[in-house]
Amino acid sequence: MAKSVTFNLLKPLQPPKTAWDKIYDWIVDKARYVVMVTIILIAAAFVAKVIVDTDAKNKKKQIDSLTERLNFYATDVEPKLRLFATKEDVYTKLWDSSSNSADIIKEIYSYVTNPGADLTIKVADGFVSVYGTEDLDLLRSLEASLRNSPSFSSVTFSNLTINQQDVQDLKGDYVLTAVIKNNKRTSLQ
Amino acid sequence: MMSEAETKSQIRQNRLNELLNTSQKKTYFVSAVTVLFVLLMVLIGILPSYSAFTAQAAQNVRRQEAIDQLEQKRTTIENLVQEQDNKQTLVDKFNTAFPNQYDQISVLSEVDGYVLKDGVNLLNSTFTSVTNTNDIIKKFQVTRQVQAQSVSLLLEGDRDTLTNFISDMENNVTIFDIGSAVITRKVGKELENSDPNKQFKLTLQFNFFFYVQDAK
Repeated sequence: MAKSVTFNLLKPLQPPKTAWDKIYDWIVDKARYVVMVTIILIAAAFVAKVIVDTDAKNKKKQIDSLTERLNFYATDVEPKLRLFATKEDVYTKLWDSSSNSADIIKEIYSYVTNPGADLTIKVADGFVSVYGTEDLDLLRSLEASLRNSPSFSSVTFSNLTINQQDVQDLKGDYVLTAVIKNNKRTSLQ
Repeated sequence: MMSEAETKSQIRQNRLNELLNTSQKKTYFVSAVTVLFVLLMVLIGILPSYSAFTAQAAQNVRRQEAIDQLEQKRTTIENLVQEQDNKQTLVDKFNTAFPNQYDQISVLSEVDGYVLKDGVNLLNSTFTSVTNTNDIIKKFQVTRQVQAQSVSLLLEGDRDTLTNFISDMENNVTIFDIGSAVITRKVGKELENSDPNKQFKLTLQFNFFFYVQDAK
């Protein structure tokens, strides 16, 4: 027996869509783009988070390693370097403020033309004293030179003894004192 | 007869249908729901992810700053160590010039060197007590760790050689701070019996310094 085939050419009748059907349509149609974009953003954020987490882990390892190394330096190397630096600073201060007597003595001798002159030169505590027992001309010349020198101030006689015979011989006992100024030595480079 | 629950459901259904039954209302409703949905996604999905990422990124920036500082310190220390190694001879010379304890032999050796160089005679040398630290602090504006020992020398020579000796002492790497220098010409028999190049005497008092790390 032949099987009958039926064709229904009418548009199938659908029941009218309920509100929930419409919402379903909206979800699978327009809202999916929102969901997709959100998922893409969340996935991107996740990947970025993994990257920054890995980076953070590496940085922490690096910090730990550097800290360990610096702790070693702090106990072993750094104190030596600090001591050396401190000593170097102190040394510079000592150098800059230590004595410069040779230049003073050389300058005084430059005013004494007679190498055999009976003079005693004392340089101490920022003062210079010249003690002599002869040649008042030398004394006058020395006094004038010291007064004109920028290296000295307050040039005075603390003692001058001349008797009658000394006046005739142009001789006498004298102590000439002066304050040393501008006696800074060359700073260390 | 419909139950009360069914009645309420029917009322909600009707309200929803009312919202969607005209094109204008539908557009407003769908737009509002879409905006709400987007907000919801932003609040529960995007913002937490973004804030987790940015917080970690900010922490990484701080960690990088810390690394840079530590790295800089490490580089500085290693460069200094390297420099010290390269200039070890100079460092040793400095430590000899400015030792951690007084070293009389080294001082005498340097004095002898200049005595020979300048052609003067060393008649006497005396190491006296360690200088009062307060005087050193006051004069040089240094800390208590810096200490000094006082030395007195008596030398003979002519005035140029003795002046050169003082100059050499003062320009020496080991600092000799001359507290007092007295140059005098010999007199009487001493002068008559003296070598012509040794007619002057020099009395020198000076301090040399050392650095005591543990000084209180």
